[in-house]
Amino acid sequence: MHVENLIDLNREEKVLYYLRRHWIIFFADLLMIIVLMAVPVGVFFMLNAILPNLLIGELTRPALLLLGSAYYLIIWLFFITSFVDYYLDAWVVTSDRIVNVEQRGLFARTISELDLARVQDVTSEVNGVLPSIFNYGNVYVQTAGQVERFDFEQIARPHDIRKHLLELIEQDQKRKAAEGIVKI
Amino acid sequence: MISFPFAVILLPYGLTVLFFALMATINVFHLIHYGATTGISFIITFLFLAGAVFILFFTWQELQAVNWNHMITLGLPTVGASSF
Repeated sequence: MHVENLIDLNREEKVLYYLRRHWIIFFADLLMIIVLMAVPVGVFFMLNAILPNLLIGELTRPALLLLGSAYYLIIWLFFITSFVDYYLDAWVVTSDRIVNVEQRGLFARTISELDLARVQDVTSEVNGVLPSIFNYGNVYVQTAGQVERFDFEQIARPHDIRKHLLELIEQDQKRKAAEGIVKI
Repeated sequence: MISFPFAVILLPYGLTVLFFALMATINVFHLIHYGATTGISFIITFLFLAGAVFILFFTWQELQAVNWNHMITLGLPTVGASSF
């Protein structure tokens, strides 16, 4: 996703992180899709063993074929919808702000921006077996803005992101304090 | 007694295909509209469209030999006077 589609970068502003959910989240959806796609194959073998006449009947065979085709189309649609939902969720961290892009289903999208100066607290967590093995988890950014908390969900290296965010916030505060002194 | 051609079962299937086409278009439009035009999204979109074409082509191929004009009759059997 191109950042310029989301925000207008200031002259000296740099994009430092472009974060998405860990790839394993989409992979889990993919595994479920593969299992669902195997269901008609299982049904085929079952019917072949129990009611083979259904598979060769003049009317039943096309009916089953159409049913199977419709089923696969719906599962395949679920695949692309899962990907779009996964891919369009993003968190952008620049030298000035944090942008939270949340795609909720197909017809709801929320974009929130937060100036680094309004960040009050940053917390990271990694919970569970798979998150510990693959090092992904959540980062919670407590704010003084309208949106009380920004949640970076299921991102890679959350503890590193937290540390770097805190460094960025400190640098941003020092820079703004220095600019404040210069203006006076 | 109701009689209808076997082709009637194509109607719900056709609706499913229409729904699929509409939602697929919306999904791909979303990716393009929100600038998610990266290599990965291109590959996934390509795989998705290729898979859809495969499913539809395979279905069409398998249904070539079907006699869609075959009449299906539904209803209770009638008992005529000659039965007694």
